Amino acid sequence: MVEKVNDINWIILSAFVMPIFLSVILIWFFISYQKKKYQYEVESKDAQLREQALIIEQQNSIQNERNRIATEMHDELGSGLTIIKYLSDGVVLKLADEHVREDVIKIAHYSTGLVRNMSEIIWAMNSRFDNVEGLFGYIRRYAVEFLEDHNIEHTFMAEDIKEQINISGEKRRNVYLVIKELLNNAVKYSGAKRILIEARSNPNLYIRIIEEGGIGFNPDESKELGNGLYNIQKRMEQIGGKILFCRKFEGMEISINLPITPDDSFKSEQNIQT
Amino acid sequence: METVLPYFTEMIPFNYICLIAFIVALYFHFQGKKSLPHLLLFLFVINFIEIFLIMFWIKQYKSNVLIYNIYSIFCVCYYLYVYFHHFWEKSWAKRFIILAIVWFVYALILFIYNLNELKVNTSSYNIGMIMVMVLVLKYFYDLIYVDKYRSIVKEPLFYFSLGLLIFYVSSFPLLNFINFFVVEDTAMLTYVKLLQIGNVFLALGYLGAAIWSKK
Amino acid sequence: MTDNKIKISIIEDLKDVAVSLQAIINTQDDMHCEHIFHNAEDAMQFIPNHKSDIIIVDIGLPRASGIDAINFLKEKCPQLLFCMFTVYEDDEKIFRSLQAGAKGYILKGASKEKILNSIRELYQGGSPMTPSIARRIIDIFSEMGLNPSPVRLPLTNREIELLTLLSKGLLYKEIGDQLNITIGTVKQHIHKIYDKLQVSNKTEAINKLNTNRGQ
Repeated sequence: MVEKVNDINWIILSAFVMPIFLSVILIWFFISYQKKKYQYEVESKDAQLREQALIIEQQNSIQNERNRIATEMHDELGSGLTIIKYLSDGVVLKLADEHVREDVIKIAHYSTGLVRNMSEIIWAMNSRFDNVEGLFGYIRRYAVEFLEDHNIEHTFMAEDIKEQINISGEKRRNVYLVIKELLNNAVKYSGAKRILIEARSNPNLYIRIIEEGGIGFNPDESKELGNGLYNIQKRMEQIGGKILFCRKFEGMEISINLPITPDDSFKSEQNIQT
Repeated sequence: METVLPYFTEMIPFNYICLIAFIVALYFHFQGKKSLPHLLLFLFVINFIEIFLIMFWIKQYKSNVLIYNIYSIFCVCYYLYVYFHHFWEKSWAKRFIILAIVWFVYALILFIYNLNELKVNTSSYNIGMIMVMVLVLKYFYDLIYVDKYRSIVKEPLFYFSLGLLIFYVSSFPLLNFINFFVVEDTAMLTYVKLLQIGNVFLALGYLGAAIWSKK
Repeated sequence: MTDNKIKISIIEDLKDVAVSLQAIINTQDDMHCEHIFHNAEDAMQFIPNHKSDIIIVDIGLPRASGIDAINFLKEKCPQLLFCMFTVYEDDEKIFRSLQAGAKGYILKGASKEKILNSIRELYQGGSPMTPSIARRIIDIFSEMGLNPSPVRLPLTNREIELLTLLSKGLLYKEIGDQLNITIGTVKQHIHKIYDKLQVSNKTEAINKLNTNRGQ
């Protein structure tokens, strides 16, 4: 009888002790596991961030190296072209023959033009200029100077840009070159009397050139403009933009439409073409 | 068919889950997926024993103690095998195997010695299961303090270990003192019912291991 | 007599360019270029002992840079006017030269008339500016507004207006029309802005020095 009572006590005891022991183990396990999991997640996030930072650093250094190389090249070329220009200017004074003088003047002219082209390439490559406001300013300066030189009445209206909008070097360069070409056409072929340029950035980049007076042109038929127009189309396509030619009663209206994506300022310099 | 049917009607939840575990393991086996080493074979054997053999033995011999003794040795051997497989590279594993072998010999001898007695060999079962528990606890310990973090959600061994742990800890008192209650049938029925709850967790462990087959 | 002529010295390492520039200047009645230097060291040695009004400094000098020359000579002869001679208008170095004390720049590729006009304008107190330079100056001065340093010359409203219009790409003529002033006045405002830029640059440098010493 006494033995049995003892046994029952043992059983009751172990019946309580065992589940407690089990619960303790399980609780310990799950808490520790969650802690470990949390630590792991934090660490992997850290590692991810560090990896991203490393990638950004690498991209930056690549970009810096590219800028440096480009700058060096352009400096070298710039110096050489400058010498060509100055020597040509000196030679012109010593030449009697009109035709020869004209050719030498052309040499000087081309070398100065090259310097300007390279300046534009530097502008396009440098991410410092990766913003829409700067682009409008750059276009404005060129356009106003160009139209002034050719004695054409002009107005440039750019929307006030409140916050910085990023735009990649490739897009900037292509837009700028397209505008250059369009203005060149307007002056040389359309014979426009007045040119109005309008630039907006919301929601897409939108630039409109309105030519008043002059004959305008039919984009589908023009032969002289052939290559130029083809280039313009290609440039717009390359950056994912659209260009619309609209023939008016007296003149033309040309508009450029370009969506801007948020990751534009990091997109490269790899795609800059001359 | 008539002889087989009664076996199926006698099935308890533990049997059902074991059967499902077996079917699942079979299904994945045909898909080329594997879980714990030789799990399919193990599940086949225990299902066969649990569903058929034990009932058969009861009907024949009134008591299934003999079957249970050899069956429990078989189970412990399989558990030990699974964990030794997991801990194969560890330095202490080889030494531990020796211990296991010693136990096995002891269990066999005890079995043969008690062949004619209706006695559950709790000592050999306990020692065997305690060795298994040591391995299970080492497994959990490693998961937290030794190994790098890995997700246990899809790990078969985790469910298996969890099932074993809950089963053994909850049924330890009952299993150990079962010999003292063989006399009173009514009390025994209650305790057997309680044992079955513990068994369910064991079966769930088998099922969990079978479900997360991969490769 | 060379007394009322603008006295110009040139620091330029490309000999052909230097000689051509000298020739261009000497065709004019109101200016005269006596000395050419091909590197900064020679200039720094010679110029303090020989009176000049304007120094035209090539932006890409070998060895010691143009900026070093400006820093050195500005101390010795504070009344000297420095003008950078550069191939590209948006050169980063132009901005740094302006910060160091240059008051203008001439493009190497500009026409003779433009070069001579730039020199005259500079002598009369006017300076050129590009849109990008304007933006950078705006940025620098608004940055300073956030961290006030002991000596800081704020820009007048007029100057800020001017910088803003310049940064948008308006030409001097357009700005003049808009603000009802002549182009000459526009350029004189720019000249004063460069003065403030140089002062703020110096105070920044001194502050940095002081904070470093303090450590």
